[in-house]
Amino acid sequence: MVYLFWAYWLVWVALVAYLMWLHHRTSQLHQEITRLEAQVREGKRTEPHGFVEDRQ
Amino acid sequence: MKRLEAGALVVALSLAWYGSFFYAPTERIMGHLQRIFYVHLGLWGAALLAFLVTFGAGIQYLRAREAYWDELGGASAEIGVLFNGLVLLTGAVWAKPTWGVWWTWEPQLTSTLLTQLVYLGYLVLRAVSEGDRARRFAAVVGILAFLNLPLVFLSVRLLRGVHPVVFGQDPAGRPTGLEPAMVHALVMTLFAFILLYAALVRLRLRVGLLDGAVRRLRIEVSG
Repeated sequence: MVYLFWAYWLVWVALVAYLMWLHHRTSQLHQEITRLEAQVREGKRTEPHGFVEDRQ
Repeated sequence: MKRLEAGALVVALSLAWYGSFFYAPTERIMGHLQRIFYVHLGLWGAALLAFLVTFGAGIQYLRAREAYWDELGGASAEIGVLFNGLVLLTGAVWAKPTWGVWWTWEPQLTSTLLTQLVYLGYLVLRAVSEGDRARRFAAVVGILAFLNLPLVFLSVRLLRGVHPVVFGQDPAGRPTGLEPAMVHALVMTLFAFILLYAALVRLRLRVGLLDGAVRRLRIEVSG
């Protein structure tokens, strides 16, 4: 019975930990995208006229 | 995860849990310990599906060269490795009271460990390399790794090991079989783990695609 408990406990702990990691990583990446997008917008706004067009 | 998907998953996992612990009868010789079998085999079935998806995604990437297929292959392999790792762990927990050892170099155990190492290698390869060439190489490894799987399936039948044969005949030629209630519990568990796999692979794929978006934005910001 103890071994049965350990087997199921191991499985659920591993699955829940993985699910939590996925959730954490997703929100981390969303934050990073928001920050980088803001940086890109800011960069474009401060660039001199014609620079963006030249680069494109 | 959408509400309907999460609800279906909770129901399926609850049914699997009920089936494994209450619906399935207690095995005569091993007693309650045999109930590890449901989660062990359910995870193995879902791991096989995960590796099959990696195989298919690899072929599709080589044909279409779309990043989506590469990400899908990687996401599926990662979950396959997680599930297969749990197969090895639950097997070890079952083996200790049954065989008296946590591990033995038995054909099916060894080939399952080999599969785990091959897919871990695939994940390391993906983690340390970038670019189309690396993706192509990873796709080829994902395809070749899958060819190892029939070996796992056949090893218990062709080579005389101590791992139990659930379906068909054991190495001595005796027919093996399960009580119908045990088969129902196994099917419920397998179904629940396949649903869990589908949910996890979708979440992992999203992480992979977001990661790609971050990389592109960083390039844009830096230059």
